[in-house]
Amino acid sequence: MARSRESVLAAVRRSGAVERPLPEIRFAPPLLADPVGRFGETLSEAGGELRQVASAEGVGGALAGLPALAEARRVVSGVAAFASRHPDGAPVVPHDLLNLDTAVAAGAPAVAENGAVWVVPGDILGRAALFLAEHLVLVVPRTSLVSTLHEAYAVISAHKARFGCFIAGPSKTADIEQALVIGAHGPRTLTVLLYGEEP
Amino acid sequence: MNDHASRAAAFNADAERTGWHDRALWHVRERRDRAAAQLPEWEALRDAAGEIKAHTLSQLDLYLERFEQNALQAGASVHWARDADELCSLVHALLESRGVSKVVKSKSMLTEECGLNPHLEARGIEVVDTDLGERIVQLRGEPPSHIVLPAIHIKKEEVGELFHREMGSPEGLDDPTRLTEVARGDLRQRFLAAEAGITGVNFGVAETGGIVVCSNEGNVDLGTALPPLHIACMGIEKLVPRERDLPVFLRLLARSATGQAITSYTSHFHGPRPGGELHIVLVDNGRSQLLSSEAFESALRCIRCGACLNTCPVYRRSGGHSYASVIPGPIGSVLEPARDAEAHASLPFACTLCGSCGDVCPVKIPLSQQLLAWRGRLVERGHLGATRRFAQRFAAAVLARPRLYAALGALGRALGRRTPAFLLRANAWGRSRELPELPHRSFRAEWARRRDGS
Ligand code: SF4
Repeated sequence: MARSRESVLAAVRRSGAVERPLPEIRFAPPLLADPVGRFGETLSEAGGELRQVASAEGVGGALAGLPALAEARRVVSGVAAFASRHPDGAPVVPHDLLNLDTAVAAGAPAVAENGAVWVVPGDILGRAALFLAEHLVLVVPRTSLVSTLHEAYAVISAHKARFGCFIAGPSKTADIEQALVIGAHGPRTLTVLLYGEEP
Repeated sequence: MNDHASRAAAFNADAERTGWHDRALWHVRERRDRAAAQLPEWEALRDAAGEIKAHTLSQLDLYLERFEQNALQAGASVHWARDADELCSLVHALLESRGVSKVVKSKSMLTEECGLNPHLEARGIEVVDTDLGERIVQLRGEPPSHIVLPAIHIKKEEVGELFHREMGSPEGLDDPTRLTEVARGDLRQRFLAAEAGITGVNFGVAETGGIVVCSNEGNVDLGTALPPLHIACMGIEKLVPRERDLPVFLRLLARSATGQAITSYTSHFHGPRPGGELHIVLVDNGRSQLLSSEAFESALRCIRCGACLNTCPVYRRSGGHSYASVIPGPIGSVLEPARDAEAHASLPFACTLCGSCGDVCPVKIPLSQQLLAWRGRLVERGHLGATRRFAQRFAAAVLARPRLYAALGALGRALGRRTPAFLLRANAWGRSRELPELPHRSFRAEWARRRDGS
C-alpha cells in the first residue's frame, strides 16, 4: 500500500494550497462565582449526579453510602478507598465483567462548563468496566476543577495515556423520536464524588 | 423524473409526517441556539475553528506525514486508501487475515460513503451497526437519513414493529425507553461476540498521532474495549495540528449537533490497548481533488455536526432520503456533486439560498455561496433540467426588454386576479398557499404617480 500513500500525498501536494496562518488559541477562562455549583448544573443536564465530601479521608465512607455501591454485588474499583467485589472470582478479560454492577474510577480534572471528567483507566479491565457497568462512580478532587475545556487540555496531556476519556453523564441516546433515554449501551447512572475542602 | 423535487414530493405526500419531521429538527436547532448563546466566545470559537481547519488543509501533506509518524510511534498501524475500493479491500484483508467473522461498528459517515458494510457482508462477515439509530436503519435496510440522527425519519411505532420482528420484543411496544432497553440487551450479546470493532474518527491530532472519537451511547468504547482489534477509518481532512486545538472543536461540536455541552464520551486513543491492535486507515476518496478547488475546498472543514441540516428549511420538509446521497442537506448538496455532478445535479437547487446553513456552521463554511457556485457550474455543464432551462431563458429575454416586461406585468396582474384556486394548486408552491392580493398598478406606475404628485 506504499503506492497508495505516495499517490494520496502527491494528490494533496498537487492542490498547491497557499499556507494559511494557524491561530493561537487564547480563550480567557470565565470567572465563575461558584464553579462547583456550575459543575453540578452541567453534570445534571448531562444526566449525572454530584455528591460532595469535605476531605479525602471521607471518600471511603461516602462511597459506601452511595446507592450505586451500597447494594452492588460486583464492583471494579480503581480507587484505594473502596475495594473491588468479585464474588464469582477475579475477572481476567473484559468479557468476565458482563454482569458488573458498578465501576469506581478516579478522574481529574472536572470541567465546569460541560460536566465532563477526564478519566484514564489503569488497565483494559478498568477501561472496559467504565462502559460495561450498570452504574459508574467517579472520584474527583475538588482542586482539579477547571472552568473550560481549554484549561482541561492544558493539564491532561491526553497523549500520555493510551486511552483517556472525557465522561459527561451516563450513557444516553435520543435516536427514537428524539426522546432522551438514559442507559443506551453503557452505565445507566453516573455519580461524581467531589472531595476536598473549598479552597 | 428522479430528482430531489420528485423525491421530496413523495416524502411530502404524508403531510402529517412532514410536519412532524420539520418540528423535530427545529427543536434540535433551538437546542443548538440555546447552547450557543451560553458561550459569549461562540463567534470567536467559530472563527478559530475555521482558521485551524483552513491552516491544516493548506499544509495537509505535512500534517498527514506528521500524524502517520506519531501514530506509528504510539504503536498503531497506519494504512492509506486512495478510494472506496481500497478502503474496503484493506479492511477486509485485515479482518480475513485474523479470521474475523463478527464485527461491531460505530457511527462513521466515511464507511457509509465507501460502502464498507455491503462489501464485508458479501464476503461473509457480519457487521453490526451499534449506534441505536444506525442499527434501526440497518435492520430496515435503509441508509441513514441524517448524519447525526440516522433514524430521525422513523416513528416509534415503526421501531416497535421492527424490534418485534427482529428482536422478539412484545407486539405494540412503542415506548422509547423500553425499546432502547430491548436493543441494549440484543446488542450487548453482539459486543461480547465481536472479534473486531470498526469506528470512525472525529479528530486526528498530527502532533501526537492520537485519534478522538465522540459518542453518547458508549458503543464506541464497548466496541473497542471488548474485541482486541480496532480499525479506525478516517478521512484525510480530519486532522488538527495540536492537542490544544481539540477543545476549540469539542466545545462547538456537540453544542452545534444536539445542543449538549459535550457528548457523554470523548475517547482518546493513542496506539492499541495492551495485547491488541489499532489500525488507522487514512482515506482520500475524492478529498484531495476537492482540496484543489478554490470554490469548494473549504467544505473539507466540515466536522459533520449536522447543524446545517437541522436548520435547512428544505431538508426539514423533504427528509434526508430525498437527497439520495450519503450526506444529505446543505453540506451534502455541496459535497455530492463533486463526486458525481450528473447524479446529484438537482441538489444545489434544493435550496432557497436563505443562508441559514452558513450562519450555524461551526467551522464557517460559506455553504450557500458554494451552493450558488454549483448552480452556475451545473448550468454550464448542461445539467439544468428542461423546465428550468426554459424558465431561465424566458426570464432572461423578458428582463432584457423593459416594455415586454411592463406588458407581461400588466397581463399577469389581470390574470392573477382571475385565476381559479384549483389552477393555483396545480403548482407545488400553490398547494398550501393563497395568492396575495395583487395590486392594480405596477411598482413603476405607482412610483411615477407619486413622484409627479398626481
Ligand atoms: S457543514 Fe458545517 S454545519 Fe454542516 S455538518 Fe459540516 S460542520 Fe456542521
